Amino acid sequence: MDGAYVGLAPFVAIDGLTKRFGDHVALADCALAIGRGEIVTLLGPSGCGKTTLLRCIAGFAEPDAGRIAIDDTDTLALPVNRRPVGVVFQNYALFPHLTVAANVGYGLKMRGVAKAEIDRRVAEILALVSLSELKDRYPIALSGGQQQRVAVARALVVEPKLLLLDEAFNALDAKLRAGMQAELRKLIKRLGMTAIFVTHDQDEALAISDRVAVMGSGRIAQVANPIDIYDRPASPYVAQFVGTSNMLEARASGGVATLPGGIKLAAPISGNVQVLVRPQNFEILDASDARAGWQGRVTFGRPAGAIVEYEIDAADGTSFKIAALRDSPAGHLPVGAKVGLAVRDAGTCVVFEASS
Amino acid sequence: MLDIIARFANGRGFWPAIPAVAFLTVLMVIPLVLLLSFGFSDIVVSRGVIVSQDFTLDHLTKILGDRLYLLTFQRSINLSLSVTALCLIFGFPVAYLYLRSGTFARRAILIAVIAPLLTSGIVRTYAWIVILGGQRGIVNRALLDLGLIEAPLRILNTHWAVLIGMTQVHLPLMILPLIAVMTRHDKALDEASANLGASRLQTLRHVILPMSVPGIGTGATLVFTLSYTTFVVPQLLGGGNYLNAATMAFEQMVYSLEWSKGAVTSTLLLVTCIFFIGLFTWASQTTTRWIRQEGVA
Repeated sequence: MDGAYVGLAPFVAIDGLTKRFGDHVALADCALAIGRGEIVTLLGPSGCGKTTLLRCIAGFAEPDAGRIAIDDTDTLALPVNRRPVGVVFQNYALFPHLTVAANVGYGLKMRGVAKAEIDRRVAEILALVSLSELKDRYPIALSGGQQQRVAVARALVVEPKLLLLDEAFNALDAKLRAGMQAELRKLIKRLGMTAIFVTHDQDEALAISDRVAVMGSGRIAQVANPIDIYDRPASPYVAQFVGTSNMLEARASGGVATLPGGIKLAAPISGNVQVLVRPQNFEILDASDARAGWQGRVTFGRPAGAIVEYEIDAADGTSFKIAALRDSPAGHLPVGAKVGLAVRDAGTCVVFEASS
Repeated sequence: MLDIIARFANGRGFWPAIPAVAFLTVLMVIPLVLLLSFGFSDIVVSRGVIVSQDFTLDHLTKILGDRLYLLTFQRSINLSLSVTALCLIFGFPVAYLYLRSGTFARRAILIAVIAPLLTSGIVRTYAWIVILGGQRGIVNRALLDLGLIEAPLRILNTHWAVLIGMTQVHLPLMILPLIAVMTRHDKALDEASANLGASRLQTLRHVILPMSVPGIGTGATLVFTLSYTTFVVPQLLGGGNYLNAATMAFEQMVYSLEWSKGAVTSTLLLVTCIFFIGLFTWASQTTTRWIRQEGVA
């Protein structure tokens, strides 16, 4: 499960998808292949095109060009109400005038399924999301977490081939969110459902997906599993969007880039380069330590659970974001402390071509 | 005293309601009670001044036993319910069009709905005389010229003219509450409905229509009340041939000066009208229980 999807025909194949709103290009030639039973997250800041992509798949928006196939069927040719796609909406879009059971049964009713069969399948899916007790409630009398489960049950009961979830955890408070993410991932995996999540929350993306597609300005910048997205970002954009990053400038020649402190990195390119170093990949030393590549001063320190996050300004003006374990010697530095910095492990640094 | 002023300024309790209550008591409740009391008494009027008033139930019992009143009230109720139904039938599609329209078209629809309200109902009713009237009316001339009819239809001064005119005059009062509902309608619900397999018609039937019930309730109450109590439209378009309960009360009060009879008619009009408003409110509340359900902890 690493890198791009490899296999025979992908279950969901998106190709050359383009969508413009006037002069604004919302989607530019997007391509994405998803395997059966895979969970993929579209991750990006607002306005990056992730929601537009989702709306094109669901049929709420019509792309200007491109192709979407689900299970070898041209999906763009199908009207919105015939697509084999279930959507969990951002604010759930539950029908306020229908009870939980009627909300969940709505899709079956529209398909002309017999009453007894509807009752049976609704009861079954409500049991699956532990909502049987609340089947006669109206949405107004449900908590956020319960509403989300109704929305998921409503989308699943019609047995779609693909489940789409638009910022599905946005409306939940932080504590509930982590629990629901794990719940939902387990449920989707148990059912063998293929799913696309849309989110701007990188923690959510890393927590629930098999693969993450990072989007920016209407393009898919990188598709990879969550670990590769973090450890081997394909571009400075991905690196800066996912996790905290330090971008250091350096020069490369002869296939080697050298950082202050004598750290040597393999560089496929020559000339000016940018080097990504994650906050936990710095070692905080005494200011006088010979191994230090940079000398600096602590300008800010913030405990965050087991670690402390520092901002350290070097003499040349570069600002570093550094993380240290709180129970390490460097875990209690006061603001103003003079320190030396060194890169711990050259292997986890990533070298990019300098942008200008 | 200072205490009272302070509480008044605080805006707490019932104090802030006092000006409105006083205003309505003097200008509405007292005159209304006086008027209604005429229905339960014999009065002697001399030179426009009541000189004696004695309690009696004669007028009430006589009127309740009179078939003319029964027929008139039946006619009024039929007419008002028909107008309400017609306003709903013509008004709902306009509101639905509003829901489906973009910003510009929405503004245009709103202006088209509100514009007639800027003209007096009497003027609009007169316009119908021009349209429906005799041989030279627009409708008849068009039908004659097209050869669809041989002799002009008699529409004006009939029940049909009253129905048509009243529907047009009261239509905005049905459309406006519906538009208010549509403005708040969450389009994600329509998308959810489509995503779950519903056609546009099914979405209209199962999502938009039931969610419009509060607007329909308000609109129906407004249209019914005004249709039930107006005597202008029936007089102008019914040409004196059309008697509804409101017209009857008006004529008894103003033309035949039978104040006691008029007061009884007014009382019956008020009571039946409140009954129908209650009926509409009850129907709309029972069908929108979803707005009010509370969670069971």
